[in-house]
Amino acid sequence: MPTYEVFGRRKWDAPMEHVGNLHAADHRTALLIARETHFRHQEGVDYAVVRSDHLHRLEDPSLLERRTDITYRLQTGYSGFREKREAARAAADARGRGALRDRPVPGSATKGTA
Amino acid sequence: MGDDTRAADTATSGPVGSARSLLLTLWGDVVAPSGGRAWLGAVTDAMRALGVAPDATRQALRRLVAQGLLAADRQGRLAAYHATPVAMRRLEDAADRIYLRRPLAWDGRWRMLRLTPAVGDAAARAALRRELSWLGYGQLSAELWICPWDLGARRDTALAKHDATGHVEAYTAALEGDDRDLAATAYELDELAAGHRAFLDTYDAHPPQPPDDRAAFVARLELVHRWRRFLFLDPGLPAELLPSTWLGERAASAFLAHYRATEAGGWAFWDTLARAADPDGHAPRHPVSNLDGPALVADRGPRVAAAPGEAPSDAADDLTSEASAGVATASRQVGAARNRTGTAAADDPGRTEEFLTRIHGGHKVEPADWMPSTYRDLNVRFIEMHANSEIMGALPEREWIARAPTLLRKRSLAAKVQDEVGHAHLIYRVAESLGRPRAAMYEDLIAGRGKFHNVFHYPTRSWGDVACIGFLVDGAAIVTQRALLETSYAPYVRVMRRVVAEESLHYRHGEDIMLALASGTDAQFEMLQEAVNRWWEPVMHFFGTNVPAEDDPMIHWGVKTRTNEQSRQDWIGQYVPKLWDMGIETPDPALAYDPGSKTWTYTEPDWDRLRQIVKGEPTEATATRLYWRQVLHRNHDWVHRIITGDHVPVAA
Repeated sequence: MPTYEVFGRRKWDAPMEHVGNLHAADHRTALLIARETHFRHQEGVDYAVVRSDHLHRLEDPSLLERRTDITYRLQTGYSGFREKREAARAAADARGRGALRDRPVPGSATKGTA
Repeated sequence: MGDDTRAADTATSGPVGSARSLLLTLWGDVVAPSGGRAWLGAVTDAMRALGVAPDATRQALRRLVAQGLLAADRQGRLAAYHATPVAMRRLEDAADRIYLRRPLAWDGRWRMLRLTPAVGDAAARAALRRELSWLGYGQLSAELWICPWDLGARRDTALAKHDATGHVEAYTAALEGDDRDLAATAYELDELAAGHRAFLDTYDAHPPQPPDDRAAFVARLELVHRWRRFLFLDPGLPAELLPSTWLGERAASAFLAHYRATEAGGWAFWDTLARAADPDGHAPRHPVSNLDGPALVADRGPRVAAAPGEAPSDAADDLTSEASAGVATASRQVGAARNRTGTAAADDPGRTEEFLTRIHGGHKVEPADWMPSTYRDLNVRFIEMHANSEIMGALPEREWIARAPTLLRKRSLAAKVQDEVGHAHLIYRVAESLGRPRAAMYEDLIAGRGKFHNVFHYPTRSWGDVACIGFLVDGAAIVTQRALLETSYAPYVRVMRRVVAEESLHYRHGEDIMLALASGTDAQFEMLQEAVNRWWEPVMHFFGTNVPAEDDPMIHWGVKTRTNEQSRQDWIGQYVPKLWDMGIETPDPALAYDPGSKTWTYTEPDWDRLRQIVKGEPTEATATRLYWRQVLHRNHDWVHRIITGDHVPVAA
């Protein structure tokens, strides 16, 4: 009897996630058993089954390792914005453009700038 | 509430039309579907309900007999009237349009008629023109008429009626240009929009339930009477040809909603009158609903011929013009046969209306769900343009990878370009799930036929441009893409979650470059200021014109949830304060925030310039980028063939 992997979506806008596997004679039975096994408590809005021998998994986990620094691909690669903004303000003041930041903008009325 | 008020109004303020024209409405809506003949007693009773006195009705009947539209017959002392064959044909013709039995999907081709000088005298030509106009043709010049629909036999009948058969040349053609502009030239769309607005003032989207059958009958006849008057103006254009301020679809759904609310009660009242006037006490048979009549068959793809609810497996063919031409023709007979039996219900307006109600209530649409063809087409067009824009947006930045000032900037720019291309892959998949093949989209794009956002038509002259694209342009994209998290097509939402997360990183990247330049040397600062000056108007253009939500078809069809102006205001509010904070001036002297109304005022961008950019000849920057895309696409074909398995292994 083949093994089926079960994937489910918790909310309509969520991605499909692996929730487990089961044995069944065919995909219809697998769908039925999956409902009773994994989705009887409103765990999801959508699910799917696929035969385990139809799944191809990553064979060499080192493919996910990065040998170089990839921080530039991440938000954390950009930091120190407070200091950078301060530096830009100081430069603007030095160029005589500091008054631009006194113009009214959303939220500024509460700060009392006029 | 509204309907009994109107019914009561009728009793006091008189009928909605002349006795003669109300009689024509009665015949078209009630008598013709029941066979075309009615007893005088039933007619006068019905007209009395509509506020017309029996004397006036009898006089109007005599006039219609004199005009050859009705004929009188007698059975003993009882008089009856029946529509003449000419009148029946005209009423049936009108019914297709009144009850919106016209298919809604357009095949992108225009049916043209050229009237040769051999067409009769001036009077005959004028009569033919009136007829063409009524059929839905628009006039381009004295000789040239166009229509988006294939009217087949109806056209031929009209030509024969005016002895024009053989003197008119018929063409089927695709326009190389903007179909909307052509439609605006050929049809009086302003006048029509005013008519629709007036109709919507009277009939809103929520019809009241009439208190009794008589009220239903009165409301139904008045509704049809007002509605059919448009038909002389309304060419029934497909949505893609209408200006964005279009109200026709809303007017049509209001009509259908009110008709549904009153039709059954109206028939019940008429049956009572007809039985009372009939010597044997019988009422003639009539269809359950006029809305289920035979549909007019135009060129339809296989998808539309499929039964409702069936997965649109052949939708791909339906959307690719050349490839599907043969398929569409071959399947036309199938479509016609299905329509005749009334099972096809191609984009049944009632179903479309329910669909719209559901998506505006928050329901999300999955690829296998039934959807109206207009919804599918608008989404494909929008999503394809979005995917194209991701590719075309990566190219201007790609030009700067090698020229970026530091290794870090080179790496991060390369990473960003990869992300944008990755977004294109994700988003093309969404368009594919709606039936448009990826290869066709990509080929259209690199051949210069694909549409993409205005901001990616411009050159990148300096490193300041890279800062502006990363900060201002990506900022604008983030604002509009966030709004897409609420769009109604579920696969698009799931993909946009990931795209928006990545865009936040791009925004960081852009802000980092901005701040470095703003706090750098005077030359760097001036370079940034100059770039901001150039990018200001394109970004203001990016959001589109200020279209009210109720006139925006993208909002009506649940593609977008926010208006262009809301997005523009959001963007200004988020990004302009940051520019000012770093001492960068905005080039529009009128730009100011009013804390009282919490809105930004600005100089209206030059919309002609936008039109020129997106619709005119490709800019030099775009032509160059597309040229290189074509070259690289050819040169990298071997990669594509390996991925798709379409390669021949080389013998060792």
